[in-house]
Amino acid sequence: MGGCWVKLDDFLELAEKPYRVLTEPSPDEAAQLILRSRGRDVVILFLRCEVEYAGRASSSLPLGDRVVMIKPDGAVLIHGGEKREPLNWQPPGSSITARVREGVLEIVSVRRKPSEKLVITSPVIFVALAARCAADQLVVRGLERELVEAVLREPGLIEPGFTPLKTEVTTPMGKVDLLGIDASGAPVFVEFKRGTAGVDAAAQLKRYVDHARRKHPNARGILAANSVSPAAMRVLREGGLEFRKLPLSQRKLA
Amino acid sequence: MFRAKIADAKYWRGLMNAISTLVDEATFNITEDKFSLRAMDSSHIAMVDFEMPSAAFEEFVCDTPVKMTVNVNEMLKLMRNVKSDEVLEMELREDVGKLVLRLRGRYVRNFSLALLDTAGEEPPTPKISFKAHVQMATDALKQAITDAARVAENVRFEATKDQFVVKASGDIGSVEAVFSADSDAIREISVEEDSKATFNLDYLEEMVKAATGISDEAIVEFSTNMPLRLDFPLTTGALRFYLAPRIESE
Repeated sequence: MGGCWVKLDDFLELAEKPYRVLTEPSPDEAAQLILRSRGRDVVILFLRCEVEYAGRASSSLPLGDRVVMIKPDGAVLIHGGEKREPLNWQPPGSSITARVREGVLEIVSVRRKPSEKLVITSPVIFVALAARCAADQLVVRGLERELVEAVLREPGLIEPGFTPLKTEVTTPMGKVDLLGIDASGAPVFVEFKRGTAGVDAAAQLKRYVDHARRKHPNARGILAANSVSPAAMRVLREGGLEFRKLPLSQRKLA
Repeated sequence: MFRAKIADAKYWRGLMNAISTLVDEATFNITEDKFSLRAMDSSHIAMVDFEMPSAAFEEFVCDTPVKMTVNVNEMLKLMRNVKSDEVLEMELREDVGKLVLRLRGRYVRNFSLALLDTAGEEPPTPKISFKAHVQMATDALKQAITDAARVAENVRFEATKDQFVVKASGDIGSVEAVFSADSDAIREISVEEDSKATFNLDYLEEMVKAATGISDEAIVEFSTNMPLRLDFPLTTGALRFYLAPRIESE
């Protein structure tokens, strides 16, 4: 069984600082850093490496200087000098191992289902960083609100003759983003979703409208989003509800 | 100026012996209220953290804080056939570069030990939040470690809510000691999170062996792939060891 002894110093240092940097570490030192950081720290390596991938397809990257990022959840990203997307990657849940073979650092990431294996071999490591990152989820604010505002400014985005009446309408089934009336005077409940609306959003809208139809059989429900999933579309169709495609906002996620 | 008297010279030798498992040249920190040492072994795999408050001594005089470096193995040699009814007196003589040791029993034995240059700073203790705490009889821990050492070089500590397991396997076979929460050797097991870690038996065996005569009780604390802390509570004072884990690549 492979493994390595760790020095106590590592724990003394990390106790003080949320990171550890090794400049030009030996393959041994880099392997130790990777193993020790597993499940805890994000490891970023700048190294000269070759990458072999075998799984759903197979690929290889010739020897070159790249940035490799290994996250505590098992995700591995290999970045070159261009573009946003990594050249190659493994998803969270993959297991990572590092060892030294004939003086060369070998980082292996294995995913079981589907079976995928990524092997990074590196004779030269320039920098290795272990960083204790926060694992918080991005807090998204005001994005659906932005869509609502766009419709308030330009009600025709929903349909010609649509008149908004009230936002954030409280119903016994929860809050509806927007209530309006259509050209014929029928109440219209509009639920907004940023990006692709899923089944949840469709089902939620259905509950509002089903409830409203007890009093106003002509009540309509519109799900307004940038796109809709096929399953959500089915829920809408079965519930006699509609989907309205909204243009993507120009503002990017923070 | 530093001067102290210990009622049981043999006990003192035991403490120095425990320190000597990791350190050859030991730098003691002496202040008005305590005699302490914290040092790592030369490979930086293990650390000893020792502290004796002045109250533990029969007599303790230190007017200004001082660091005293001596070769503990040499000190042990001088104290080899010390008796438990002998009283030990220590006096730091910086003027002549010596630590004077006086054993008072049926007669008086005077020794002196050369002081060495103090090099380096005392390391900080590792700051780890341990997920598994096991309070147990030192002799039972010693037995489990000795058994493990018969078959392997490394030992695995595993703790779950209701048991602590010490296991080792090698070419000739495997050994496993199971301490359930209600077993006689266990005083308490408290585990916040299932924990497993592998440690080197050479170090462990030495530490536990040295501590057996000093403390009946051992507090074993660890977390997955984090250093181990072995705490041997003293009547007055503390003797703790830290040991870095081995991290398996598979």
